Amino acid sequence: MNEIPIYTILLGMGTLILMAIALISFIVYYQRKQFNLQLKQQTEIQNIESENQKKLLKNSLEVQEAERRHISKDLHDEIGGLLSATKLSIKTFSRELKDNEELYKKVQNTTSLVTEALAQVRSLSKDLTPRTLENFGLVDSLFEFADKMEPTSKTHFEVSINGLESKERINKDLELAVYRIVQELTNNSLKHANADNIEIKLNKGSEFLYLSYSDNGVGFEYEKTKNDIKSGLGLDNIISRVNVMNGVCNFTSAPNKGTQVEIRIPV
Amino acid sequence: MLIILDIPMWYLALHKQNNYLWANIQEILSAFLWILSFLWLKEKIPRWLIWSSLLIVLFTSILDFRFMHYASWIRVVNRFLFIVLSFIFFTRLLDDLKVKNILNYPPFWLISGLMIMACGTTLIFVFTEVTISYEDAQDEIYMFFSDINDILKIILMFFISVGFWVSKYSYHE
Repeated sequence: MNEIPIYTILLGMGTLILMAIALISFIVYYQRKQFNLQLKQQTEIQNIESENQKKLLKNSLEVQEAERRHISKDLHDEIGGLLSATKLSIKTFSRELKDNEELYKKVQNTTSLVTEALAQVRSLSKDLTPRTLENFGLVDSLFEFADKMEPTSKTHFEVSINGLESKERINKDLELAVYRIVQELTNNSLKHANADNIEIKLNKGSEFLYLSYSDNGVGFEYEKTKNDIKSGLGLDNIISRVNVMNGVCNFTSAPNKGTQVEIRIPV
Repeated sequence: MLIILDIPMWYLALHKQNNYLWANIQEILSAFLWILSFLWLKEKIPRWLIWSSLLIVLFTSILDFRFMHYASWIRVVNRFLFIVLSFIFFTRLLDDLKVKNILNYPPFWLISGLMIMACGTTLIFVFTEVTISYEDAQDEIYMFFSDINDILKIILMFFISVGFWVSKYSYHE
């Protein structure tokens, strides 16, 4: 009597243990599967959000550029035109005052002030919309930028460009982004870092455009500056522009050790 | 606490005296501790179920407590409650999906060990007369099922040890 129930009991025990092991194995398998699925969904959502953010950023930069172009045009055509007319009018007026030496000198002085104002307006208009960039491309505009900045800032600029010829054009958005980034970096080097030597290296490969920027200024603490709402804005602008172009940037800087920036953007 | 309760059991066993009283007390206390431990889990097991389980353990213990024999029905009821609570724990674990790496989650190992032990030993205690009753069961069968019971306890201890071992890792990674 005892033998049959014992085998039955053993069979029952074995079945129950197997069921428990199967249940536990299923839970491990299902939990991992569900979790991976959830992770995949989260990644997809994050990708969509990041894509949307990029689009927003791109739009905002486009609006900014359009506004700059508009202001630049107004400055050049309206204010510049008015100043030119004023200068011409003063010149005509001055011819009539040649007899009165004292008054003539004053008018000449006014003419030179108007000329200076006209030059400033043209320069401002040019800064807002880099016409060389629009007409001749990145290489010429970067050389022109360095040539223009060197005498005014008393900083030595070294620009070297590889893989890209003068007047050779690449994606317009990319050209503008790189130009603006260089502008922003130079502005930081001159305004905050007191640098007297700036090196700009641009290298175009088959897939990526590499921008290497370095200065010998006072440097800065990257994390501290980036988190500072006031001074971190310039850095944010650079990072945003690089992100919009699906690129990556790397800042290396420390107090009194200058700043090195490496940027890689897909062509 | 259970180790402290082991001491009188060992003492009585060495003096060849009946120690089922202590074995039954140990069983009831361990059931209380196991069921109470479900209260501290991240996966919220309904409180009413835990308190009801404790009440059931208490009533069964009062009704079936024995001084000189194996209190088998206390064990059967305890194991049934362990299986139910473990099952609910696993269901919650899958519903919540808060744990990223289940194999690094200590409660998973503890409850898995408890479930395997409970599933494996329930039938031994349902058929106590033919398995581990020292009065009714044959000697070799008695020893055989005692060994199985001990092996399943060792498996439970192994799972508990794994639970402690993995507690040094983060289950959020």
